[in-house]
Amino acid sequence: MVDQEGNDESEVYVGKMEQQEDKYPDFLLFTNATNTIKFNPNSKKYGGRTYYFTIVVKEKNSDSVKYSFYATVRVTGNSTEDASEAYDIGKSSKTMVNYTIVSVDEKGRGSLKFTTPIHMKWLEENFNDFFKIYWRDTQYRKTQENLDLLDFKATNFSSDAMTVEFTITFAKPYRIGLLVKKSDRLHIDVNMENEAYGQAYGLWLGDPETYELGVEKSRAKLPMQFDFENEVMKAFRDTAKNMYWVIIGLIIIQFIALSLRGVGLLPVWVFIEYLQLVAFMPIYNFRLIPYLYDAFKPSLVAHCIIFDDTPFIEEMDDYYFNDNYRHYWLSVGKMFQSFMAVCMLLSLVLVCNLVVFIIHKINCRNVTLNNWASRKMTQFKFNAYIRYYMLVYFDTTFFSVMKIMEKRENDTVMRKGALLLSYVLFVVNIVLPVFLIAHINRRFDILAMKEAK
Amino acid sequence: MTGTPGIIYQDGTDASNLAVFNRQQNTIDIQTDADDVGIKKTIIRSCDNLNRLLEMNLYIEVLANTYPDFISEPETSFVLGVNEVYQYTLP
Repeated sequence: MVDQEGNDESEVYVGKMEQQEDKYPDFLLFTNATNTIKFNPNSKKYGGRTYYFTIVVKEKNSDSVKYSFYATVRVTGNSTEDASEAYDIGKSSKTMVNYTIVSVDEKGRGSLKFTTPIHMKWLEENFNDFFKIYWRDTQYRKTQENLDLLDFKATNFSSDAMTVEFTITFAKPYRIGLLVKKSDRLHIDVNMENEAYGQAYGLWLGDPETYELGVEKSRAKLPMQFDFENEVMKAFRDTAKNMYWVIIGLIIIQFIALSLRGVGLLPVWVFIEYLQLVAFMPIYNFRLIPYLYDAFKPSLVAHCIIFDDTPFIEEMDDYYFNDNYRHYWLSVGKMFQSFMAVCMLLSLVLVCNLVVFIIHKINCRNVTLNNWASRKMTQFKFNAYIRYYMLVYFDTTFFSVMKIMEKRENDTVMRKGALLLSYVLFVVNIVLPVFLIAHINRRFDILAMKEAK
Repeated sequence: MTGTPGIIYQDGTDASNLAVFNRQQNTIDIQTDADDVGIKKTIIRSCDNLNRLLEMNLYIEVLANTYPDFISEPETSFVLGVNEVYQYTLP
């Protein structure tokens, strides 16, 4: 026996196999000095059964650096009646072994698990012959077509002798998992005859006759796939990233052009309002490709500058309201940053208001400045605030709705505070627009008439 | 050192999953089962009688370590009859 790193002494011992403790061979003798296993089934009661044990190799001074070899010993002959203490080999009641696809995630990583330990080395050698792997899309009922994967790699045959981890790649990952009520599915079926895998050197640990495969088919829902090594997905992602700058450019150009022409900024405000709808739409309603948020982020104003790491509440950087948000890399930490930006924007408006108010009040000799200040003061009563409110309306409403609907326990003071704030924002965001419209219609009767607008 | 020495990583997070100060013996117990290989930079932090901060860097290099293995694949499947003695020396 050798230790690759040579940093510790190696030792070996024989132990019971997990879940098969009662089938440990009592007639096994292990001599440490010579590393020898000796079997001496000196009673008829041992006959006709298979026993299980493990050979464990480990580093002497470590509890975790070890490996278990699963081993079996079959004693030939007929099982006898007097062996009441031995277990029931029961060829009539074979051990049923099942397997299932445990999970497949959005990056195409998944795992397959057997219900009892199997001969992993054999499975590793024969994986491609043993299993038939394909997927079916939502149109399967019509097309009756089994579709091929671009690639399937078994990445790890686990040492627990039960789990196989794998990664799958699709030719068109962006078409998978888009519908809510219908699912694309991955299928892993057994593609080998019982005679082939049920041999002495086969799938089973121990006597093949005492085992039986309970299921020969397994399938799992495929979630949306995000394979950014796929050329199309990569191209769209890059486009979305570049769109961020294009949108910023468009908004700035509109601001400048409209200001120079002096025709009012209404078109650019309407432009931003509509883009906000576009940016938020996929997050709240559909399983769309995660590009829209990235592309239209600048129009969400408060999302224009968001850092990857949130100061003060770093733990929130890995916490998402739901999977949709995870797909958009929009963590609660980032939402918090945007809320902070909303607050900063408000303070900026307030400071501007204060400065203009002071200029207006000191009544300086410069007539142009005076006129300018009084003109701007009318804007601050309350056009500027209403415009600000329109810009942050979506952000605050959706953030508060998500916080209220969140399933996580609000167990800290900060979370309770955030929940209370969310309720306040939510209620205000319903009441205030109604109040504003009613107020305006009352002050300016003419605006109540649709034709007059 | 008179205070209770603590060991932290240089980014300020607790390093008790790697190194722990043993007060009885005035030693540091270093142990990890994580697969995270590389040089871990930690700081031993305490104070002296005059409440002055004492700090010492402790770099711990975690090397890769795999389980020992047999020279060749051991036999793991045995068949024998009742009253038959079979002996197998592990490789």
